Amino acid sequence: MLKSLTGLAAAVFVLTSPAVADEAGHRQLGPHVHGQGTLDIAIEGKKIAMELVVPGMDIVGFEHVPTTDAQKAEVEKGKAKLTDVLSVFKFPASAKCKADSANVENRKETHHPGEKDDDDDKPGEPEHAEFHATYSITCEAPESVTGLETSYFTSFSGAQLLNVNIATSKGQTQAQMTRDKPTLDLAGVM
Amino acid sequence: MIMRLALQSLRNRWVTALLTVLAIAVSVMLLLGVEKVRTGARQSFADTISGTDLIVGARSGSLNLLLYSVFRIGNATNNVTWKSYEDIAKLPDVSWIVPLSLGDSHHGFRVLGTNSDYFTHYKFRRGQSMSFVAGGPFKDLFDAVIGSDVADTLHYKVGDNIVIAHGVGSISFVEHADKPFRVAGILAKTGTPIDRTVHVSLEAIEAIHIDWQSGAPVPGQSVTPDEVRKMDLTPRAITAAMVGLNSKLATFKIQRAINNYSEEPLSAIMPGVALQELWGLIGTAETALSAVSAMVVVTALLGMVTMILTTLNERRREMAILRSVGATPATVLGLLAAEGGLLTLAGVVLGTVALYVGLYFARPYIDHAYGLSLAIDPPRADEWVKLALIVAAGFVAGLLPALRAYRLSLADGMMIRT
Repeated sequence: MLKSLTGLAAAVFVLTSPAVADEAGHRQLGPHVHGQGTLDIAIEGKKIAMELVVPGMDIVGFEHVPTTDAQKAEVEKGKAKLTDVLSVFKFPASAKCKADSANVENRKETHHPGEKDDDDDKPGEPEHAEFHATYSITCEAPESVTGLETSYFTSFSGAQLLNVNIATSKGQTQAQMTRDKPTLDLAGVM
Repeated sequence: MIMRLALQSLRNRWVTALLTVLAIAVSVMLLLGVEKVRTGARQSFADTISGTDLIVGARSGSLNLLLYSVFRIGNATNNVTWKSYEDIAKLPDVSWIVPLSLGDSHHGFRVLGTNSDYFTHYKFRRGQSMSFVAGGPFKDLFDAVIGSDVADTLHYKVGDNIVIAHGVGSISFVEHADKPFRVAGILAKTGTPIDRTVHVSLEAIEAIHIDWQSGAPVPGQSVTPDEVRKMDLTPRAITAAMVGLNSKLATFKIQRAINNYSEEPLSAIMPGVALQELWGLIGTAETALSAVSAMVVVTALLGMVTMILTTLNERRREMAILRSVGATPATVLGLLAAEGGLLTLAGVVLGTVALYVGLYFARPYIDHAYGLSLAIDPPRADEWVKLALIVAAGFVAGLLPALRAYRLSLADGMMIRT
């Protein structure tokens, strides 16, 4: 169900460049490293936009198209956990944050978010798949967002590292959250 | 009581004591100074570019793109077509876009083709804009704006004619001598690669290459500067572009959109993130600097121990008299340890004060000469800890000679050695 929701990200270009190259013309793949995910955080005013891209391996332990009911349930469970963004990424309580929207997809990495998954996925076929989550959060007291803590690593045993890219009106920076250090310091850019 | 004795004892040997304090002061100054330079250098580095949300270039690594577009180091793997540039400019969240075109040089300084927006949108040091010390941005097709290092090194002033060389070597055999440029403006010192750049308009880059083919002038085919003015000078390609967005929230969306742009393989990087990656690579030098300054502090403390130890021989009498009037060995021990501690404390205080005084006076000069902006802020928590550790180390170091004095018997000091 969540799959059908449209991710905004690629839609921008799909709209502005009508001539999307055909299948044979242009192929590209993003990096895919098991154990490592990317978290993008953009903050402006009271709004926080976050995007999480992680290999399926980290979330459910397999990346093929789910075949058994158990595997399908795993994927749904992973999605459900990731959807509850504020329990995965905990902002300071004093910031009074609430999630406006959370959208989690499990997709083959060749797909751009929002694109229709129209090729014939054969169940069980080996394939790199990733979870792609987009979040929109509003914080009443954004000045209190001096950092965040994540339960991501305790929830998903396959995950080891999150590369975090941060963009705020103060500037841009990069940080890492790991199993040993599941916290992020935002004091420098807020 | 012990403190008073220690102070008075020190006053009797004030020359050696003063020198020891100075040695410690200098080492503390160095330790804190290195820390200031280190954070200053890091900040200046991070301040090279600000206010730009994304830099777009041909598909490549983020460091490579950052190096050639911002630091003018190395070359682009590919160019970006003008069509893609226009497509990006049309994206809904893009507020401004400034083209960058590299490839030519002038006496070893890189020539950057851009437009006048560059001077308003390129920011450094947390939003500081460029300013002109003389002249202004381009007005004519063949106007150039030069950075302060270029002006200083080559002694240019507004109105001078310069000839741009093809390629980026410091000695060039192919020059665009038929189309000289006029220096229209000189930029104020920024402490960034802008200082070493000659800026011309994008149209001018196109104009000087219009009668060229395959990187060389075609013999017998020459377009005069007046003829070129009438031609269509829309560039076919640029090297990179700086992009500003309406909202930071769109940063990752636009970045992903550009990275997934299917008509041309492009890379969009966040300059702040790439700068951090780059600093991660060259930041090892920081650790080396800190290690050196820590060793200097250790040397100074060793010097202090040596000083107290050597004077101990001369002070056998002093110790003995103290003991004979009833001072316990523990008092003697405390006295010498207090001495070490006092010397170090004085050194630390003097060094810290001297650093801030020096910083206050040297700061404008350092900023102007090296583009390094050093902050005058109170020592950070970890620096306070370091200073406290040094004082503690001074007390402990004082214990070493103190233990020696403790062991010496009362009789030893009373006996006259010959």
